[in-house]
Amino acid sequence: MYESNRKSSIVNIYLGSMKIAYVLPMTWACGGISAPLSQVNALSTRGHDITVFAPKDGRIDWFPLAAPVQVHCEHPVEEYFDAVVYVGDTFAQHPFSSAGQKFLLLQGKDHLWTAPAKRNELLQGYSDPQYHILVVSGWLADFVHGKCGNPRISIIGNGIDINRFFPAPAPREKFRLLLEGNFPDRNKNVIAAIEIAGRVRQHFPVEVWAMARRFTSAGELVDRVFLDPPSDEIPGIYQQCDALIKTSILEGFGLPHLEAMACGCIPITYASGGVMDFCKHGENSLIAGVGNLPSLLGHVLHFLSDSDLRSQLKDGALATAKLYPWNRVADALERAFAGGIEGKS
Amino acid sequence: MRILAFTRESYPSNYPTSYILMHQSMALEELGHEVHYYQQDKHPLGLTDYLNSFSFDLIFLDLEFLRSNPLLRILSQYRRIEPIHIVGALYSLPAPPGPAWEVVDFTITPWKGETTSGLAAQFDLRYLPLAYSDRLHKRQSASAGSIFVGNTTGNKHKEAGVYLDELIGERSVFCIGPEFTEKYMDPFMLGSLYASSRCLPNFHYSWEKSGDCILNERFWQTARCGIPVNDYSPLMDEVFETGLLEHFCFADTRIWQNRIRNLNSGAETVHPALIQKLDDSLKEHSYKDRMKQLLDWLR
Repeated sequence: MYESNRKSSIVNIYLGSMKIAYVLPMTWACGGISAPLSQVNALSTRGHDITVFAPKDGRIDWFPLAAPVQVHCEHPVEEYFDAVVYVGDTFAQHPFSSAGQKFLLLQGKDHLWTAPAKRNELLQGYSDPQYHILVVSGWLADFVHGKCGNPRISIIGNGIDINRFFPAPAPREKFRLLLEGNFPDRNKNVIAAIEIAGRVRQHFPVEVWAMARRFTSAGELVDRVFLDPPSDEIPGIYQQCDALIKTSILEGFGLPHLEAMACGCIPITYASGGVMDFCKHGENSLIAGVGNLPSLLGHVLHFLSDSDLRSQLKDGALATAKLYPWNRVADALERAFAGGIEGKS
Repeated sequence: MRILAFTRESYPSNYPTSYILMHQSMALEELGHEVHYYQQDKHPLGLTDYLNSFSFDLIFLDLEFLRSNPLLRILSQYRRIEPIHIVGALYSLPAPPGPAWEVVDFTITPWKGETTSGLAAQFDLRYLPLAYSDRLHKRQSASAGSIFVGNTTGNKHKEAGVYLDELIGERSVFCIGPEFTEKYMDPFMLGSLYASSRCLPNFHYSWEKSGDCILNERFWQTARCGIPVNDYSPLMDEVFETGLLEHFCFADTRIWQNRIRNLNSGAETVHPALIQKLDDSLKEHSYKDRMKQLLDWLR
């Protein structure tokens, strides 16, 4: 199976400080970038020498990055790195002339939302044996192994900083539901969450908040929109909501789900792929099949009408969040790096 | 199991089949299965991409969808390369032509009669009645008058007028549906509305009596939530013993209407022992039971 399942001890395979490059496609404040930057910080703390490569004019001041940033150059990078981690589609545009190992960090099925030529380029990369694929969920591992035929996969998961994301319960007059994700966006499918919120209102007086980088035309169904909130304000938004309504079609991992859990805000979500690694129906979240709007609505109504269920889910969610520190991801990354050095796959 | 169910609308509104699917999928989820919905004309991902994004064990769809050749082709190809079951559902007659039947393992139908017997001689067609949702449809103490809910286009038929017009005029029944003043009842509210009603009229349309019979969802839901006043279908004999039939099923429209008038006014009541018998007769007729049966057939 995939490498994260190996019993090997990190102590035995750790090979000392490594020089590592992380190559970013952009620097927007979003989960797809904050996750690799959190990996960088976790690896830096362990003494690895990390350099982040980012596009010109990109700003990462929204993230407390503990590594230097270099601008992508037009020519292959001459400097030697033990490992290069390509984020997103950067592997095709930013070659390194001498790299010990090359890793692709796969955080979602980006190829499905791109034009055919780009799609083929991405799929070729995922199946190219020169790359070791770092995936954030078992769902993506199944895809790389089963559909792309590449056995060089490590599941590294994702993490949460529970010193930043923690619950802060406060009494509220009404239940508050949170929608997260850009609107409109085909994959995030926030329109379904808005429809659910509207239907919930026929049964319960609820307040509806939304958090996104872009949110076009909120309409009457959304009471408050947090547009591109500063990263230090995001935990506070989760803390003030009872449930996160997520209707994405596909999620590589579902970091917002984990962030919400850590803040005591319960994900009520479609079973959108990667979330199934840590979302467990009735334990820490409520889950419906993707697109099954009636079922998800049923879960929201059940959640709002049953205080025992809410309490049980909250306990489960907080316990789950504690299982996903960034250190766990750093362990998995070090195992992957060490596996590559030892010629393992 | 991970199941992909095809739907015509994201939430039950205009199509009877989407109400049925909602109840079926809730039952399947209660049995521990994951039911995705795929709405072909609105889904952001093409079907092939979506099928390749998840490992589905079962595709479940109204056979009507298979009148579409492109869909038929995709599913035929997919089942050649993946170990997947495909189960069809025949809800409307006449049935689609032969190729639709070839792509499915078998087809379920709530119809029984001449047409389905003929089809069953050619294809693997299995009778699986509609049902009630044991989560949404529960008996409570009644308080209001009699209520008829027909959310879909069915009540545009003249049969509705034959049964209901007089009663509506007398204010003996309150009707909800596209043809009435109150247009729609949310399926999550229907059960509690039924349960609060003194009696619940139900009838089947003439096109459902031309050699093929069905027990509509209302038959199951009304009996589960309150005091039903049904027309008569031979299929009711399979659910109710004679003692129940004479109290809850009336072939004669005039007697049917009088029963509603009398229950509504309080001139007639139903003994609690009879209600208990009614409840007993509905055991093992929930959608959960139906879906268990469907999954048993797949084993």
